[in-house]
Amino acid sequence: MKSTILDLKIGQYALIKQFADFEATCKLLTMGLVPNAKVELIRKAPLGGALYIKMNNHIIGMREVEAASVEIDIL
Amino acid sequence: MKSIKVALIGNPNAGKSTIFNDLTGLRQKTANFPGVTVDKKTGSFNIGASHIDLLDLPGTYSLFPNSKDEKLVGNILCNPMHADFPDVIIYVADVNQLERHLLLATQIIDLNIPVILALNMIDLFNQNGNTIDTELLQKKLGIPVIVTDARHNIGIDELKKTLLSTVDKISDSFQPANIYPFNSIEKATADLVNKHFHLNNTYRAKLWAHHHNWLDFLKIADVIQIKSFVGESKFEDIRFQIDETMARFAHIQRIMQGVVKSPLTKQLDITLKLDKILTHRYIGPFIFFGLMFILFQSIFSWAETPMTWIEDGFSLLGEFAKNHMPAAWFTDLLIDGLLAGLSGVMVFIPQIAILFLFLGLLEESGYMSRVVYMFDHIMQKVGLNGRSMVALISSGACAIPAIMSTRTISNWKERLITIMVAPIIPCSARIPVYTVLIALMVPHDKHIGPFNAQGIAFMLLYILGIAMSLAVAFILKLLVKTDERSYLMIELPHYKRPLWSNVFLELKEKIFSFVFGAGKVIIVISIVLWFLASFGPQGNIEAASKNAMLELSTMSKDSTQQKAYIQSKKLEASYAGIIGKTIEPAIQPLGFDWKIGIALITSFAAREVFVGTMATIYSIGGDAEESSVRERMSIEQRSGTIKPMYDFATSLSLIIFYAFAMQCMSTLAITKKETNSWKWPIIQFLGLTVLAYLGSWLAYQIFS
Repeated sequence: MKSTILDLKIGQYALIKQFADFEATCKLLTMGLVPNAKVELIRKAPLGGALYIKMNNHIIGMREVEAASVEIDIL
Repeated sequence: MKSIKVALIGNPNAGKSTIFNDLTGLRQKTANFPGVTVDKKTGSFNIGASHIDLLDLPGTYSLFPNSKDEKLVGNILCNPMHADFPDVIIYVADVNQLERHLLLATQIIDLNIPVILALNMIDLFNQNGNTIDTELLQKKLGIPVIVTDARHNIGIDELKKTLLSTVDKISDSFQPANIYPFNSIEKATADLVNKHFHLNNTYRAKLWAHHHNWLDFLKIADVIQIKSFVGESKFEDIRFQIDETMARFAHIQRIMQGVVKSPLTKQLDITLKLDKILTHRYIGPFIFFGLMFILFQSIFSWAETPMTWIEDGFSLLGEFAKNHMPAAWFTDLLIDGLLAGLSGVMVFIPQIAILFLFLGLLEESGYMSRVVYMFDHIMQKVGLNGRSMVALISSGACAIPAIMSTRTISNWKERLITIMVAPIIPCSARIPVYTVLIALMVPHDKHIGPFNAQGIAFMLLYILGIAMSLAVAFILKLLVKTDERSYLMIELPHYKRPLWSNVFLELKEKIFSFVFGAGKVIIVISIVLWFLASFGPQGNIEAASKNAMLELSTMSKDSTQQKAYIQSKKLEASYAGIIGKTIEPAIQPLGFDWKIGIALITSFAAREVFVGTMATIYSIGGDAEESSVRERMSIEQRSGTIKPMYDFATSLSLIIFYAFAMQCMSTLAITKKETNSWKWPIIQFLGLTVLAYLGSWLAYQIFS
């Protein structure tokens, strides 16, 4: 099974491989989630449901469903 | 003098608004109610022999839009005939996030519009020990590149100089750089569209092929034609959007090679450290609610003094007019109609100013995005988006800017629900109504523990409003259907010190739009109300006043009481009194009489009219201060009895009515504008009125 951002544990790094959700892809790309970009899971939202993700030089907040559509290689 | 149209474009958080302020100074205006760079902001300045009309377009990530704001940009740039189509574009990019910010820039270059690239926030970039080779970037992109630090007004002269030389060269045919290599299907489709519509630009033709369903300038026949081209050549909308975006990022990576040296870390480090606390699992929400508590405390405590000044100022003005103008109908109109109305508007300025100052600071610093991120999940449960939090907080001041700010929510259903429930959050216009009514219910000196009981009642009303808005949102979530996807995907920008000039310009704009937007309505209503209360059917008022004088001869009252008695009898005979009596049977189950009926009717224009109307009805005359209205109301007796009119049950019933009812014409107008239909404002109006009626009825039946 392929792992996604949702599988990351806090503090883990990963490289983005590809996207499983066609429709969401454009949105993800414009936020800088491009293939081979490095991501790190920093923490989860206080009330759950969302993730705090660090990219190379910027931070994004994304829902768990959105994270589940990004396939990765865990480093 | 040559007039040139220039547009500012860039991703959100690139510092576009600051550059706009630097370039135009105070010569700027917003065409409509503002949000944070949501609406069309325009300004002007001169360079050389050219007059520049500058347009600030909403923050945009890409020409493949995800929100209403971004579609607006698409509609302008896809249509060279558009009135706002720019001659030159200033593209603002955050140099610290250059790769990502260049996506839209390369799309614009392909559109063949002359563009200048301003690399903003160079100060932070340099502070972190980074360097950038702008000449190399300029060569690779084929457009002028300059660096700016807009927050400190650095690079703005250079920007103007570059703009001047670009403007001079406009007439030269601009060679397209063609950054994006089309695949064969894209090429075939774009060529068909390009040729048929004489677009003279293949990339624009490709955008037409992608977006023909929502580009608002296309005629139906055009759309059908494009649909057939698209079908003919098997053009795939979403897939080609993705392909193009990926290809552009790959190209940008090639462009960036050797341009930037050493990545930035310092600012990111500070942001990550702050977020460790501010978005912490437990501490984060706690800090947020603490901030909100401080916000509402300061609204109540700091605003009080300036509000008294404004009220006193207007009553002095009224006195002055009364003493220096002939006693005639137009003097009455001026004092009781116009001045009373104006005072009713102006008095809210301090509260609105404090709220927007606070919200502006939170927005500028980057904190608001964290609020969106933290509360998205719980908002989702009631059919809203994390972004709804910003709107619902703004509703605490006024639903109008709150509804405007929902444009950042891309999902229609979530946006609609946010718009529908925003007016239930207690806005500042309810404050004077609550103040008067709470004082009737809860004694001034009563305490519960160390806390003032009136203060607690206030807080309970806020909690009631918030809880009800979430409940209504949940019901709407079940009722409204949509196939549209909902996204959070939000950038959490690096924290920065708020720039006071930005905050103040924004604040000024919001106050102006409140005064001119809501103010117009309130003044008109005050005048109409004055008319309804001053005139009645032929001879009615004269007869009532004669009767009252006859009655008075058998009573012992001093002259002020006599005047007041005659005044209230006259009001009863006026059009307003007649309307109040007509609706009395409908509101009796709520514990209201015809006098309250008049107040309810006038309040349907705007809630804050309540206090003024009560003053007129109980003929307090002259200056209508909250305290005098309250005193007069507390001695009012239910007709035919000696029981107080405003007992606990009636006051509570009235408060609940004001808590839920849609009593604001300006808000309805904004709902109409933002939903682009009559359906939703009508549903909003009827739904909330029914809610208010049922709530009041329940409260009165239980407590009376």
